[in-house]
Amino acid sequence: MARFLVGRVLQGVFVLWAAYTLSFAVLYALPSDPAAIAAGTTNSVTPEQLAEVRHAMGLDRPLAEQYLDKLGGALHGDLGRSVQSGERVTSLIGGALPPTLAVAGAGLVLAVLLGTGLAVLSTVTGARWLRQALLSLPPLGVAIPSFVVGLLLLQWFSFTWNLFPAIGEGGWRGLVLPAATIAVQPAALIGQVLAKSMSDELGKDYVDVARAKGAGPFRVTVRHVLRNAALPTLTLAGLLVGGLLTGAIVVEVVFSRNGLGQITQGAVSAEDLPVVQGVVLLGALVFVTVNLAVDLLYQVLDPRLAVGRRSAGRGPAGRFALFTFAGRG
Amino acid sequence: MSPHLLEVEDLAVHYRVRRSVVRAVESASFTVAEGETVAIVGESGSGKSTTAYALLGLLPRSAGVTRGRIGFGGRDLAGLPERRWRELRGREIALIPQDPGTSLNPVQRIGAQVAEALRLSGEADRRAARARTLELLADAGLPDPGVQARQYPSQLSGGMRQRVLIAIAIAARPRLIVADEPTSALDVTVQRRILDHVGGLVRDSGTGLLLITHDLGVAAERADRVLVMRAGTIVEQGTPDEVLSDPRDPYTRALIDAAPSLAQAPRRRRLELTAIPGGAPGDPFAPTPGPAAKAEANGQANGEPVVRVEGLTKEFRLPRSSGRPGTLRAVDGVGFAIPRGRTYGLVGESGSGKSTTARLILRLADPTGGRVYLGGEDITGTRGSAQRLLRRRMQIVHQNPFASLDPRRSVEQLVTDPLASFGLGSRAQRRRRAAELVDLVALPASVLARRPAELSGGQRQRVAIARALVLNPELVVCDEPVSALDVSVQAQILDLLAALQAELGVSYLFISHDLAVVRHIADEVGVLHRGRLVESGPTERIFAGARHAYTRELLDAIPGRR
Repeated sequence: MARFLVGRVLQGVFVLWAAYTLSFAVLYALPSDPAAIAAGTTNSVTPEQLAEVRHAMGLDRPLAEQYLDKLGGALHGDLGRSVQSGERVTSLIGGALPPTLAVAGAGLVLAVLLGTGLAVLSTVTGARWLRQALLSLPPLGVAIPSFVVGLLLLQWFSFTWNLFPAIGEGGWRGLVLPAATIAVQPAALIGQVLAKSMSDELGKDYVDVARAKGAGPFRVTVRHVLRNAALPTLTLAGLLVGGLLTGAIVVEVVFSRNGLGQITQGAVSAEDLPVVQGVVLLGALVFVTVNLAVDLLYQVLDPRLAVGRRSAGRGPAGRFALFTFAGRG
Repeated sequence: MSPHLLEVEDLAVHYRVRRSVVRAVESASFTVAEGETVAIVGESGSGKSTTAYALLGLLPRSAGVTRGRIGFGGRDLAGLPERRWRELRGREIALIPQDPGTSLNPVQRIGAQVAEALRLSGEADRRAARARTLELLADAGLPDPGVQARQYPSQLSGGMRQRVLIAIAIAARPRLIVADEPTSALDVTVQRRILDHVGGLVRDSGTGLLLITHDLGVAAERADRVLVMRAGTIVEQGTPDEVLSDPRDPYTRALIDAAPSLAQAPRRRRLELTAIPGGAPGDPFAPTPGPAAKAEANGQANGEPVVRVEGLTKEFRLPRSSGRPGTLRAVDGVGFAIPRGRTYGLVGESGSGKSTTARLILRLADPTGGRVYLGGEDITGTRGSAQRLLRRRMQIVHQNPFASLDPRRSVEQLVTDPLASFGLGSRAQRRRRAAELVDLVALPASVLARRPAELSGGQRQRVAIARALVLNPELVVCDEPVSALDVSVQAQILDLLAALQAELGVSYLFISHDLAVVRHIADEVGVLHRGRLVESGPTERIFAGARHAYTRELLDAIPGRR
């Protein structure tokens, strides 16, 4: 188990390094001059002053040297300073992160709850029409673009019924509409995949055995089928987290909330390279962390994965684990 | 009060499949008394499993009881609403399912799954269920209930899992147990122990047992009465002696003849080899023997066997953990030879190393030690294109014809695929060769355009055999080629393999867990036990006087040999 974890963490470190290097290569190869941006856009800057700025920023050194220097800084948690404000990139992003994470996290929770609820309800119900109706929701949810969802939610919940604020922070009430907006598509995907794997699981033999014990549909679905069907959905949910973070950044701008969205928008339009790179790295970090979490959750949900690693070779049980391992007896 | 526990009268179950109706069960009538064991025997599609599931109210949504009566304990269960069924299942009627590999929830501990049966039937509250679970696991014959209760299904062997399912079935002391092929997924020796155990439990408690099986041998040995089912109808019923010694229905006669375990003496065939028709080994279109064939002709002159293995050993690396050896020896010093045009039967239980041995010979896996000779030539170290060329001389027929044929290809494409991948022959030549082979395996030419899904299991296995033979190989490895098939189809496939060998002079390595099947086809038999070849010799000598204790155990386990 420890070896597996170390391997996974090393993989994550590699992904982060690759993201850093790639973003460095792309951003610094852009045909723009960071020094000119830093010095201001007015024409009053003389070439001498520009060279001075360039020297101060280390831009006159060879590219390889700049890369190594910056990478060394990044390893120590120093991603440089914003060209616009001069603030440290880490503290700039760190300050903007909590509200964005709140939106993305609320979106994830909402998506998982909605998707799971839909799948379970459509599986448990004996009424054919209800199942059909529920199962036609996911394609609809995927088909509607999220900005339309956002506009509709705003129209109804804030302007017509005045339940939630249309813009700004406002505690949890301000969180509801942005989170709902970004949750619709992931919820639809989760619901569809989960309902499909649950209906596959329902055809398996252990379901017959559970029913032969006298278990009713709800018990069969929730106690037996759900956990077995959760594995493909878990992989999907891991992938969706990245999308939710992006969605949170976009939706923040729409709902004019403070957060990473504002910062990213500003940094991109002003070509504030260190900040853009910081956001890219943050995305990679989230992705790596979520994948690691998904891998660990897999071990918890499916004992077969943990068993193969833990107790192979112990008596008949271990022998069996080995044979699933080696492919054939 | 009715004298019978279960009285089924004129039961009919129909499936509605895309506007047409499949009559799975058409008029079944039988009874089961308290403490009685009744066996229903039939092939797949005969309606025996549908009957079993109808008795538990577990038919799929598309199926329904359309006629008849299921009398149980004085009431009619046919047409009972789901809520009433739920009160009966487990408490009154229990199920022992077919496949222990898939019948337990893989992500729930064994103890929880047994306790659930106790809790749902109201047998025990949470506290009492723990103690009772351990008792039940012990009753079902598990060696160490305290340990097994905390384990997951994947940590137990197939036999142990079937015992867990038995514990679940007997948890609520039901009056009737329906056992749907409870042991057909298990090794023969395990099968015997499990059936003995269920028999004992049923006798002691006075429970009625309805045993569904495809094996007439098992039925005759275990049941008080045997019912033979065909196409949804019960064609014969009586005591085992009546049914076996004086079958009234021709179908029963056919089943008895086909059952490998019941045949008194094996069908023998002994035909001299004839020349391989059409081209050289490995290339059906070659006009003159190629260099490979020449070398092999030399080998033939020396009486060299097609395949010879010496000291074959394969170790698998185990995940490292403290205090245990880092490797498992799946194959341990195995040596034998297969003469040209003969069949070598390799017998053993799952995990004995049969399939690994075959993979080593086919060079699909690298041995840890030992040598493999093909026609006298050492092929142990071949790599790359030389290894690929070996595939023209050795082919394989897999166990499961439902999984080994690409469902998206037509039979013609499947059969000619090996030719195409070696670039042999023109398109027209390949087409002709496919027609030839389909004819050789006794299939009508019309199957060439069809896809595997349109064929029956036996027909699919014939296609797989045709594909294996298309390159004129010297050796065909048959890895449990009949275990996924019905008994009567099994007999046909075995006869076909024998006839093909007589005609083509091909050699077989025939792998099976079933000694009775091997007896019909093999000239020599090797018995594998934990990777070691414990006994090897001419088939009849092994059957007449097995020397090794394990071989004797395997022989005793064949149902019908008392």
